[in-house]
Amino acid sequence: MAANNALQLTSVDFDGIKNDLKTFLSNQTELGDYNYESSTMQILLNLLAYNTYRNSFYLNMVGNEMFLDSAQIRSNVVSKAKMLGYTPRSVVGPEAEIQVTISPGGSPSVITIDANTVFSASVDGRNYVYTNPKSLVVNANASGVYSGKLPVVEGRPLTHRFTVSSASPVRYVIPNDNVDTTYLTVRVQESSSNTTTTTWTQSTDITGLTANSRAYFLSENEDGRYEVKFGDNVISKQVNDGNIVLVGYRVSTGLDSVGANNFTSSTTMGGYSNYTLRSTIASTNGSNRETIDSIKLNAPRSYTAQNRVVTAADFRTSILSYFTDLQAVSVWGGEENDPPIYGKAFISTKPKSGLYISDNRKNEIKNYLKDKTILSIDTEVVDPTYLYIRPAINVTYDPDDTTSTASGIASGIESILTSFETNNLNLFGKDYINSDLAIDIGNVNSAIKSTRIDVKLEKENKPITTTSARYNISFNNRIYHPHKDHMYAVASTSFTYQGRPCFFDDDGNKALRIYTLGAGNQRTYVNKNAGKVDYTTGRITIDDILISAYEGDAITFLVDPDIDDIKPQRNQIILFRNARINVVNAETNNLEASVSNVTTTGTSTTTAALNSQSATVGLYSAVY
Amino acid sequence: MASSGSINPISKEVSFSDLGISMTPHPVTGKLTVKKNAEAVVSAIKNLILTNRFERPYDPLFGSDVKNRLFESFDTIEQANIERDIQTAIENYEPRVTISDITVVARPDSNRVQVGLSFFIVNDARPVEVGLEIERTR
Repeated sequence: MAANNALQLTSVDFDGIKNDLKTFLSNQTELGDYNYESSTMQILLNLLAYNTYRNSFYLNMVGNEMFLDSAQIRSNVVSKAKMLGYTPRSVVGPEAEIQVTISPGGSPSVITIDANTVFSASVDGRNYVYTNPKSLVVNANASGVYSGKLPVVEGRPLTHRFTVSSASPVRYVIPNDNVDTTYLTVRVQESSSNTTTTTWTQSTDITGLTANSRAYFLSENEDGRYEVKFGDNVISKQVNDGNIVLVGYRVSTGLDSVGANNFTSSTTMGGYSNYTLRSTIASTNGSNRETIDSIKLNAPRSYTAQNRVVTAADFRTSILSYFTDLQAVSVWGGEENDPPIYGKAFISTKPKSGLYISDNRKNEIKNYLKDKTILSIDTEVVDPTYLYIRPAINVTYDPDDTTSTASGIASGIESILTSFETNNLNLFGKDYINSDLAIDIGNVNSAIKSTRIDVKLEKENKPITTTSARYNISFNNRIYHPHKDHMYAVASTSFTYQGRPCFFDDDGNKALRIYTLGAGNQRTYVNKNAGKVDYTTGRITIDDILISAYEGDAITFLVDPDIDDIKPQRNQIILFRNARINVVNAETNNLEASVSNVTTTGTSTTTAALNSQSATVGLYSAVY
Repeated sequence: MASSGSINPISKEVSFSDLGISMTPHPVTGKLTVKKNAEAVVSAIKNLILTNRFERPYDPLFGSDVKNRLFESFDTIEQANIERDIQTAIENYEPRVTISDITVVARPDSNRVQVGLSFFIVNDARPVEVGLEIERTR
């Protein structure tokens, strides 16, 4: 059988290609020195192999850059995303609110603070420019004080002019790298002599566009800059020769100035120079430009959703891609709610900074979704609720196995608690697994011989103090109740009921009771049927009662979970709070270090006021 | 009993063949000239000595670095360095020869180094001598 003398180039690395060439030559009879590195044949082989290798490398690169999953160069990723109808998010300037109080020295009817008044704020020694996108009309109040709250956004407002010419056509590329397209405006002036301008609106699809629609399309070009494109008189109106395109935009530094709260201004306010500025909302929200990884993640999902939101994943993708200040979104249908509320889609959001979003932001989310949801589905944006785990950590350690002190071990466990909360909890849908924490704690120091973690669950409720109401407190995890008549599965902090400081507990048979403490901590029951405790679902229902005051920021309910692995539901987020650490010497059995109230994220969270939450079924805290 | 008769001595033909580095065609046939045996090995050694290290892709240690050393001030230490470089390069990359002598003579007035090599090709008792003049070109 004849040998296969054909040249096989199956390898992709240099040495492999060269070996393929050598194999080929070994089947030839004319030349023999291909095996010696210093021979002339080797020089030729190197040249051939190098050339083949370069070609295969370039081919590999081209192949990679052809697909969204493997492309590495931004312009290629953006180009692939463009084919899916996806425009990457621009940098977004953070927003703040300033209370402007003006002393005009007279009594003008109103004072108008013009749009784009420049304010300055300093963060980490660097100055940032904030301006107000809209003008503000300030009226005098009853005391004659001219004061108003002015929303401001970080970034310098700029306008760029393009003259339309078919003879020497230009691309309408915004000549700046850090354009915040949130405030992008496109106006078209008739000509240099006719200053009539019309405002055009951005369109993300061609649905509903006619030949007369004044719409423009926005995309990121190959240089990473945003480009405005107009229609062709078939799909949206075309711009004509002599028109002047005026593109207004902001140039922002993104997240750099988040937290700014020391605003100053060197200009007058409405023409008056005697004024004071006070930050009412420190700079928040904002985002940096969308990264390559984020584009790769969001573009296909955005395409799948087709600019509509139907499934829970559609909601999440759409909201997260548009509202850049949000860290996480949880979405569930009303039929999954407890109690079920049909015809609604519930959305809960966790901002990147802070715990809750403002009511204005909730309305913005609702409005954004209005044209994207299917008919008959109403959206409801609710705050996340925090379910707190109170871990009591007891470790024993052998002092002979370590140079660390008991305090040092306790300190190490504190760090683990904080990092575990950050990495494993603190988002929607993140379960608490008791054994995972125990393993992490065991790894703090090799001298730790045993770890025991007892957990209790805390939940807060901020009642209405002016009127009686019903409340639901849902732990969504089974409450420890081994048998009938097992009392005191529920405990609470103090509140005022019928003019007396009271507490909640249960009778062991599903009844919630209210009691006061007498001499010797004797419980005197004021109301033996104040509500119900469902030990199986972990829900406490409080009947229609008036709680006129409460201790601290809210009433805290405390239960023992039936099992120590805790699962959050819907808009619940698990955090640690009131953690306690005990370190015991295994040789002496002495408690050598103890830390109470470890500082965690859960330590500083507060419960949202009920009046900002849903009360659609006449039951406060319905959405938990 | 062994058969009588004369037996010719066994000679092992060592055959090396390579192309000439100049790639000039044969004046009569027009084909590339092929170098054989000692001529091919000498050509390979010249290639090796005249290649600088890091010059060949994916084989950075190939070469002798002699051309680079022409830019150094020449003294006996530098002379020894060149001799060592050449020897190391040949030992590592030219298994067909055994070196018997390397001489390096400086020609500082003309910015040259004269390299003399004496070696044996494996399985060949005839010594081969090569002389190279290496000159700075810039």
